[in-house]
Amino acid sequence: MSFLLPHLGEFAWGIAFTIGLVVLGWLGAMILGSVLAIMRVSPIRAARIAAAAYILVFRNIPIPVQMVLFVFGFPLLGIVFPLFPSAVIVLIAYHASFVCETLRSGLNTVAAGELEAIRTLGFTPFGTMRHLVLPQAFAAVVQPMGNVLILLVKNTSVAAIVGVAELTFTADKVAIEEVQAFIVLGGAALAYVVICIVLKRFVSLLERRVAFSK
Amino acid sequence: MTFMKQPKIFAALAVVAAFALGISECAVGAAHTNDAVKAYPADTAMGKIQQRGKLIVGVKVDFPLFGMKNPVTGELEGMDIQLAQGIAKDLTGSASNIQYVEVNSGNREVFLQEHKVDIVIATYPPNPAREKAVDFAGPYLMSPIGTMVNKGDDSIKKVSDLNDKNICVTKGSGSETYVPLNAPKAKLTVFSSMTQCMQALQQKRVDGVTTTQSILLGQMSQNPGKFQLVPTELLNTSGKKASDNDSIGLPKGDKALHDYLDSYLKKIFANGDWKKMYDSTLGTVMPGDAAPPPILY
Repeated sequence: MSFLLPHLGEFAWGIAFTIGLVVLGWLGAMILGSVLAIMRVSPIRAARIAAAAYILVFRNIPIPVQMVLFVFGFPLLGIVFPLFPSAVIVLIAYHASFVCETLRSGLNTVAAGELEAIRTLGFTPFGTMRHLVLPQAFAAVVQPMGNVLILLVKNTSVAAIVGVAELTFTADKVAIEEVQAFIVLGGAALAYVVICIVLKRFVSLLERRVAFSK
Repeated sequence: MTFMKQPKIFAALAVVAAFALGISECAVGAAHTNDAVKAYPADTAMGKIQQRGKLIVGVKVDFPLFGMKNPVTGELEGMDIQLAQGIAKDLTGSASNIQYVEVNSGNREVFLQEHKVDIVIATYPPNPAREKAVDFAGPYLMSPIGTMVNKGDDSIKKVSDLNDKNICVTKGSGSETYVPLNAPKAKLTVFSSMTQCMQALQQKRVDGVTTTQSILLGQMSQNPGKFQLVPTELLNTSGKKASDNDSIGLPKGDKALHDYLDSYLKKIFANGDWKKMYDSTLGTVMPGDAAPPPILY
């Protein structure tokens, strides 16, 4: 195992990059996904169609394909982003569609009667969303949303294809250099499992808290 | 109607099969009578290849001039392929008694360790970590390391110019070590395939691609007029001029196979077959005349 020692710094950076991708990707996906979900249930027809079209495209194209298209295809149109931001953008674009569909199932749990009641109290559509619909919708989908988060953690490995030095990339590189594929990639697998278990713990805690607040 | 037709089809198939078998019988018969093929003891790797009747070899399929699938014919072409065919002919009597297995820089050792292939001929230079896992015979080609830039870009002329430049290297290549060693301030972009590096260079995401000159010349031959080669002579860890010594990879500890491969290389170095292989592949783009390398491993 001593061959791993000179690479520990690289691995620490790899894990840091992976966590960076998860944090930025998740923040972006939650914001974009929420906006899309609201668009999908909005009374404006154009907004519904736009959101549905977005989901049709981004949910149905495999993320490695999106990654390669974005990094190597877009420059043909003159759009060049550095590699790390490119990976974050693709992760957001892909997972926002899943966040949207998950949240939408939560939105549907809000009873029509509640909506009518809050209207009579004089709430604007925006106020209705903010104070009544979204809090209930999010509370209803904590566990499914946790699944999307874990999906995102694993999909950060796709950034390795385009040369972002995250965990999978680093492990692959060290495995080639040291000719020790099994141990190195096994270690990376373990790291992913640990990250996912920790996140799952947070999700379970969160679910218990929203269950009490309901 | 259909069940009336079927026996006819089977009969036709049977005739075709009989012919095919007959022909292959003949081919095998010819191979056996060919006294140029030397028989090896059954317990050696060479003996096993002869019993099986074909050589299983790991090659790359995306390296122009080395191992590259011709998009028109679907056939593999290149120096590595010709060398593999030469060995197949030497052992079994026919260059077509061969099975190719596509490998990449990350899985060559595993294929050899698990005996999924007999040998690997895939632009495969030895390094200390690899030598712990597999053995090498050769080299059959030595090539210095160079940098390719976009045509008309004069900002990289010597090794020190790589500093502060964005340089693309492939994962696991020698250049990944040599570039930071020679130009500590160079920014490395690491991709897993040469194709991606080429694309990044075309899109000006990187300023140069550094690797073995012969590989770069192969890439340039695929994209004529777009790139130019700068002979950046990098030094290796021991302060000598770095070069990639493309060798034949074989399973660790198989001395008989190793000695056979070295003797085969010596034979084709001497009888002009190596020169023929070189001239029809790399010789078409490399300047000057080439001589076979010394056997080092």
